[in-house]
Amino acid sequence: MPSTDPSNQHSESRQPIAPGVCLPWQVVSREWPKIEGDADLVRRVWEELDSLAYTYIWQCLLSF
Amino acid sequence: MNEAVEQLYQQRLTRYVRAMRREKPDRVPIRPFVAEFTAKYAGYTIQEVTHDYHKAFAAARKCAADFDWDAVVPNMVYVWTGLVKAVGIKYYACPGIEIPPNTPFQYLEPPDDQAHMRPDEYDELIADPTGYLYNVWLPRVTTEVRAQGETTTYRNNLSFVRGSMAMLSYFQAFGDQIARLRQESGTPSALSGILKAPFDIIADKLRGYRGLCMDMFRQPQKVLAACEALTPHLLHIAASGADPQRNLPVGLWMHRGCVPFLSPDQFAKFYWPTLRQIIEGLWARGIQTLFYAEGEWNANLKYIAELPEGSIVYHIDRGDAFEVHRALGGKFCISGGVPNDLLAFGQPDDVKECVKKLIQTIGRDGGYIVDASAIMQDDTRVENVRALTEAARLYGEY
Amino acid sequence: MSDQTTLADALAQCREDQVRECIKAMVASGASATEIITECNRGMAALGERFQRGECFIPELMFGGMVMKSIMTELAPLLGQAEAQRAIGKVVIGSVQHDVHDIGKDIVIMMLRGVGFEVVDLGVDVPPQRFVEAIAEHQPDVVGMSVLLTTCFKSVVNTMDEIKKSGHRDRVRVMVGGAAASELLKEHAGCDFYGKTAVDGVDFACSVVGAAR
Repeated sequence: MPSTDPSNQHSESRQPIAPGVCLPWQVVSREWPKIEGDADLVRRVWEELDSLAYTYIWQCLLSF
Repeated sequence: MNEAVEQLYQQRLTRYVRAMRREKPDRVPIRPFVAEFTAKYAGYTIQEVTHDYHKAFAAARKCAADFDWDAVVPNMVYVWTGLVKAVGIKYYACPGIEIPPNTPFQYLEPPDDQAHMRPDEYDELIADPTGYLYNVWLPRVTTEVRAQGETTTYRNNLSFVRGSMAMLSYFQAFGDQIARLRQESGTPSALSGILKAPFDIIADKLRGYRGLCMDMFRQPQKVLAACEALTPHLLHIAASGADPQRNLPVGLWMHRGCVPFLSPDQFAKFYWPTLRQIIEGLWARGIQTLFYAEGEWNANLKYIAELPEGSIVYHIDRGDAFEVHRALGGKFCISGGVPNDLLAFGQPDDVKECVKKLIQTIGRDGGYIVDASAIMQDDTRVENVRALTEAARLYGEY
Repeated sequence: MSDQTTLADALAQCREDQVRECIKAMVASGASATEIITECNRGMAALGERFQRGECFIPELMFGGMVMKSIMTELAPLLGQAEAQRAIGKVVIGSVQHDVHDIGKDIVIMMLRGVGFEVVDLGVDVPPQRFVEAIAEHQPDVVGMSVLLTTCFKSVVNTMDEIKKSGHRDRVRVMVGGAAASELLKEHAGCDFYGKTAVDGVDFACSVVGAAR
């Protein structure tokens, strides 16, 4: 089934997406305004929360 | 904190961990994998412990308090069917819903032509396993989630909120459960984290065993590539759930790798290379794996013997325990070996005799943990579990 | 493809491409659908023998069975009424009540059909009464019960009790198989045969109707 949602096209770089990641920071940060202040903090919080989405689906697969 | 209870906890944890490191503790530890048995013992229905994890936790705590065990799984009735229904997952028959209330949950494999993953979807899975699971797999295995391109629905949205909140509450409750086991009965948790073999994930949750059998003949390279694509993810999930103290092993629950589901050659080709990579990857991080060899695995012992010394605790189900000990006893701790039909239909004296023999042979030099062969369900007789516990204490002193 | 390879050999060795080529060649040389199916049955029997000798395992049985099934579907339109094979016997089979596993049962069914039995598949989670009704309706030679879960042990006993109560017990031979089955269970429930493997079950069914596998 082809993906129709553009946010699903993050594999366009042909790089496999790392474990722990659903929507990579590089993809989502391109859609945001330029980040002022502590950009690393914003990235870290995004990645922590994105990893929860990752845990959700893989735990559905593994534990349920 | 009750100091006597904490002392008991430390004593048991030391005993359990030393055995897993193939040392000789003060005595042979007991770590029974009691699943639906806990319901029967604590006075709950199967439905109660399967659908309400608070009751499952309470049943596990009651067993831990009443039996002198060195470690227990905080909840061995591992599939909480409350979450299954919250997400709308279709592949379980749940007690009281699809099957009678006093029947343990069962996994339903769909017919071949409705497999959760179609035979021509390997490339999509391999390219992005996580995306595939969200976009293709989840809509197929649930009643609620809509597929990509379909009109979204209220129920689709609810499924994710209900499911993720349910999962969060369940996993957080494990923390409290582990603390209560420690404080109330001085019982350590037996495991931390979950692992499955890439091949089993494809067989059980994606292509189905039948479909995968066909694929091994028709598109073997795709099967291998899919196993490889899943490997880093399964390693990541296992490592992220592992014990930060590196005392407890990750539970590896295997299914279709053994004879007769796979020939030893098929095992060596399809099942083993990626699983071995994961076990070695965990060991490189200092994490042991509890190798739960459900079924008959003795045909594959030579491969398992190649793993780094101490990297696994080998759990025996149907394989000949003494043959396992000869092949692996020099490298790994061994657990299990008390047959489940003996625990279900046998007499306490026979159970005691069996435990005695296991301790005096494969447990002679340490590195052995007493347990049943397979997970104990509600067919296990209480008096036989008592006999197992008593015999382990009676004959298990070093 | 080597000229020596027969359809039966190709099937027994799980070489799907060769199976297809052999069938094409047989059709081209004017073989009837019945002849092709007979040859396939020989291949399935040989595959069963390889399994018994430990030369192959469930994936091969499953693969052979699936290939056989697709061949039967393709040949069905070519099988005239008169040409349709006469069954060597009839088997009623199902996974017992509360047990929803079907892989083992389905392999037995494929093997039974392969050697020429007519098989009535009752599916999974079959209540005792359904077995009894099927015996009355189909009058099989053999009844097969599959049980994967030790917790479904009671269902085997209950099914046997219902069959005895119905008065059909003496008309059929009953076999039990599956991961949870054992000699102990067979004795306890009063079945005639415990089959450790699918092929054991097929051998038993053949012996009941006096056929060679």
